[in-house]
Amino acid sequence: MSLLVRIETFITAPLESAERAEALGEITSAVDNGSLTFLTLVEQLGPKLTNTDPFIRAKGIGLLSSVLSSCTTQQLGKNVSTVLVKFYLERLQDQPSVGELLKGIHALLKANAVASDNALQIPSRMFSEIALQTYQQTTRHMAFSILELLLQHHLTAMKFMGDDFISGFIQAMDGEKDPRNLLMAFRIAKVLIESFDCTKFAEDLFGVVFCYFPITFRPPPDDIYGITADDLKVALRDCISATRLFSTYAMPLLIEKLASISGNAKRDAMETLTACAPVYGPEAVFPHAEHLWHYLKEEVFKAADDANITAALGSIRAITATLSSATVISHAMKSPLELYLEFAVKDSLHHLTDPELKYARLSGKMLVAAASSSDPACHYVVNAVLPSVLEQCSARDIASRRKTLLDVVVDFLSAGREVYGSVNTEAMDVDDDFITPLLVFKERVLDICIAAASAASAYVPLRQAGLRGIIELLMSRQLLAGPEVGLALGQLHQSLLMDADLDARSEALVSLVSLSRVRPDLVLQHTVSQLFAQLPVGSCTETTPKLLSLEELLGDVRELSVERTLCAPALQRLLERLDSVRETAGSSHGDLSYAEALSSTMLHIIEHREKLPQELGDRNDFVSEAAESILSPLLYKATIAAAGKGGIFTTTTILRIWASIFSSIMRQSTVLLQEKILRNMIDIYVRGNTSLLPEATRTLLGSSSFCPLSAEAPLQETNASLLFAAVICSCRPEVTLAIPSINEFLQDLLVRSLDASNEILIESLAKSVASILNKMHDDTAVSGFLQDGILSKIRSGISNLAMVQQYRQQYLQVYVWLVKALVLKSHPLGYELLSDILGLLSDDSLGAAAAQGMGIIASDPTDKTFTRQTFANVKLLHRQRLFSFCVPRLVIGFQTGSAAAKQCHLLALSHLLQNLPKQVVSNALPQLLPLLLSSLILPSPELKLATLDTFQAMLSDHEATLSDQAASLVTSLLKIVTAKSVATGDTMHVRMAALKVLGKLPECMDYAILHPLKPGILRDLMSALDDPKRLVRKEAANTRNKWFLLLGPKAT
Amino acid sequence: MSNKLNANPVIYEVSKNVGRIRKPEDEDESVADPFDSEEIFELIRHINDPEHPLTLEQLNVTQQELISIDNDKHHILVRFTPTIPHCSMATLIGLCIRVRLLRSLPERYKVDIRVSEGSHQSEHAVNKQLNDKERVAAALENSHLLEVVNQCLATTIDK
Repeated sequence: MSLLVRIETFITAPLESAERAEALGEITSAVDNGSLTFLTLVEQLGPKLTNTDPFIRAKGIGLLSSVLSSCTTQQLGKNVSTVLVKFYLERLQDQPSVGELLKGIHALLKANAVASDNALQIPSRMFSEIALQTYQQTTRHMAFSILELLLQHHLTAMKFMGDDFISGFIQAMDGEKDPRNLLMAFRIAKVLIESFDCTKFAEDLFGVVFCYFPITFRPPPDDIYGITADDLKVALRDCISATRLFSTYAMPLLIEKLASISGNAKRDAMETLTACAPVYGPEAVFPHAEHLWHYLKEEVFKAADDANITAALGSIRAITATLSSATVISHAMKSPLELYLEFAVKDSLHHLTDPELKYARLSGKMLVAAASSSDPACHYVVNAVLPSVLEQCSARDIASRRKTLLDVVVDFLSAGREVYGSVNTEAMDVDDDFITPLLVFKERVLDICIAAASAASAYVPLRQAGLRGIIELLMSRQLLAGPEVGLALGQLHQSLLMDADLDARSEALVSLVSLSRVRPDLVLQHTVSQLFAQLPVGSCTETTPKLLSLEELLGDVRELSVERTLCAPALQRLLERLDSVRETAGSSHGDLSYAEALSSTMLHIIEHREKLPQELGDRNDFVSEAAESILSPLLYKATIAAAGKGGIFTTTTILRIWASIFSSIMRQSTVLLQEKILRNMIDIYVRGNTSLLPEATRTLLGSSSFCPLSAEAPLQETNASLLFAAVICSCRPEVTLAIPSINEFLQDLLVRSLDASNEILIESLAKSVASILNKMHDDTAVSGFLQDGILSKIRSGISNLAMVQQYRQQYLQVYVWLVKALVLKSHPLGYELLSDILGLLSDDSLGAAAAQGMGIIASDPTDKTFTRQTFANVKLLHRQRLFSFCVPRLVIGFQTGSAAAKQCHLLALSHLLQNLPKQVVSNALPQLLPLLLSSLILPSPELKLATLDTFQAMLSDHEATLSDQAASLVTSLLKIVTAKSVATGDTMHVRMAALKVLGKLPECMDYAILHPLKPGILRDLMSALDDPKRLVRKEAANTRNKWFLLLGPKAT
Repeated sequence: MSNKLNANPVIYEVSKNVGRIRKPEDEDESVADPFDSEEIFELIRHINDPEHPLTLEQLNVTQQELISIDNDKHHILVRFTPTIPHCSMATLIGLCIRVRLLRSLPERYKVDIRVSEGSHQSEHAVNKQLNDKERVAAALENSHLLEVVNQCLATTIDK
């Protein structure tokens, strides 16, 4: 095809058509590979460019511009671009082609192919030839883009043009309405203000920009450009606050906007004022300062919106900061800052002395905002206001008013902290030449706060305010010293340990936690010691008189140990307390629960470190320390207890908590540390090598053997296998086991678990093997190991009817864990074995156990094993695969099975439902609905709860599917809540869940469907209102009220 | 709503620890929980004031101490304190409490609703209106009134 034909195609073919794009593509690639030069192209285009039809001319230019913007830049030599720029500029007078012409210029500039002397001609031609606002949006957009590019690439040349550029831009921008263009125009204006000398045009430029203030733009609902009102606001604000030249024009107008009615406009004005004040400087701000104070006061006192109050306070702060920088001409005269603050204080002081104190807090906030801006402002305001506030604070006898005044004092303290720094601020960040004005008042303030916080004041909010004051004092630099610190801490401890009110107590705790961040030494030395002094050593008898319950004390320890430096010492002291608990004969229930509480507190502290995002180095430090100082001692303790065959440290309650501690430490450990811990574990537990234990432990152990994994060992000893499983199941996959043959090792563990009689040992061993198999990389090795005899052994055990049922169940349990390991990694063998388990659901004696097994396979264990947290190999979407594999089989099994089998199938289904993301279930919903509805009739509470949970989740997204069955669903639900019979499985939690589902119907389903059901529901719920359990009644009342409020179709 | 009777009411701080403290027997199926004043208070504390976007609890109109209950005689007495003694909204507030309890308590209870002694100018008249079955029923026939009541009760949902 010749060039001419292509040109013809491009011009005659309709816009957006394929052949037009094809023609363009061919021309462009010809230009790119050099077979066509631009000059030839222009020559060939000649007839089109001089055509009498303006549309043809525009299209001709359009072709050239399109080629320019899509071709690679190497073909654009200097000469070519000079010629092209001249050509384009020449033709700008051809109005119909302007859009296409600008596109071409833009492409040339974008390719950075224009020399500065040529670039200089672009704006002058554009400004003189084009009345920009008469063109459509895309053309205007292109023009602004060109100006922006020029300022980016050719700023020096443009500066040379100077005033002409500015006046041209002002004209071009005047009247612009499109948000996309405006955003760009504001940006250009800002560059002009910053880089050009705008003195002459300040007023015009300000006028053309400020007319958009305040921005009221609201993006259309189908907006694809993503421009928000905030983008525009910020861009405009940047312009207005870019030069002090604007101050004379802006200040009166901003004040005018402050008086407007719209809350948004006011906030915008205040925020703009905050941005402008530092730029405009004290000379511009001072004349309006009193005026502004009045407006801002109005805003603070009347505003319904917290954001507006914050904005107003921000403005006060900015104004005061600006005035603080004013130069003082002579000391005889008052500085602008003094004059302003004098006025502000005079205007506010009467609010603080007013007996009703209605505006005291807000006036206080305004003064505090002013004080927080600079050192001189802080001095002035504090000295002028604080004495009278403090005086009143002691004189007032109504507690709620004292509280209000104390709040103001506390605000001043935090303002002081903002200006003069906190105790932990780096010394170089603050100037010690400035002394906080609060220093003079510190003793009085401390006295007042302590008096307020002490239990003697009956009003809880006052006590809380006192505590807030104390903590501010403690955290402020330069304030408290020596004995005062002790005094302040003393009161905090007093409140923490003695205050009877929960709110006050938690305020004290929160205070101490924030103090622990800046002064961990103080908190460790005083607070933690105080708390531990309350914790009993040795046995914990019920009769010990206590100020606080154990849970409360340990809860406090736990909260305070969030701080890294407090963590290790707290753990150490908890372990010491644990050591002191009587462990063997004569231990009471109190001892057990004390040991349990101490252990879980340790667990909480260790697990909390896991949640923190932190430097890897720090975590390694912590965890290797914890492995040494926590894990090992606990391991030895368990060993001695197990060998001693008894005591509370062999109970599963304690050992399970310890296992979680082990697991958490393992999860935070590196491969290296894990291998070290694991080696130790295998040596002691598998090989029974007690020589590794420390001297002291060995002496205590004496001659008794320790073999917690042996099937013959006594029950108490084998409980310790929980710790073994915790370590094995939390290993990273890279960890190598220090054993000669992995297959023998696994085989050994499996056989032990099949022979064992302790439930705990069976599960620990099965889980350990499953976890190792799950993490093995080589899938064929996994199936190789399993199919090498061991699987068939287990299978024949399960199906051996001659065996006692208990053993068959035990075999099934081991089998289930192996299946879980394989299903998680989507190993094909796993699904093969899974169908065995599904088949067993119809088995008379193993059906229930198989259903439970499905629960194990589908759920994440509570101890986090077999999840990604413990580095298990969990394939994405494995749950979805599991579900779609099981559902058809369950449906068939349910339809064909006996009554008992039906129930087992439903139970298995409920386990799946509980553990699946609900959107997965929804696709199978029509298929499952009959099963779900019949689940509500069966007398199993777990089954009902799971089903109700599913309904609850389905209702929000799939009300359409459920709508057909609404009546039968409602009948089943009402039956549950009116029968109130625990015997049929309607426990209180089932009743509550049923009521919740009922209550959700009105917001989800169509009024037309619900309307006929309403009278019956209201009547039947009457009986639920008299449920024996209060929690159920609450739910019933809520649901019934919801139905009363269902009065018609939802307004859309 | 521009001319509110009490345009600037005192707002009381509500404790952050809302709701009753859970006790172990709450979960025990074999123990029946008797109705108590706290339970009644929970039902009405979140009702909205007809004038302000504030709850009756925040305005101190309802207090747990002003509720008494006699489980043997199936009798409940709820007293409330209007924010100002000449408050013409008192009857409406009482009606809201009445409707909320009608919808939320079993029928066996007889509920008396009164303004607390000395807190309202026309105490007697208000009390009479609120405890007259027919007048309450007639008030609820008025669709406009019912709409206002339902609006005030909408805030009690899911609390």
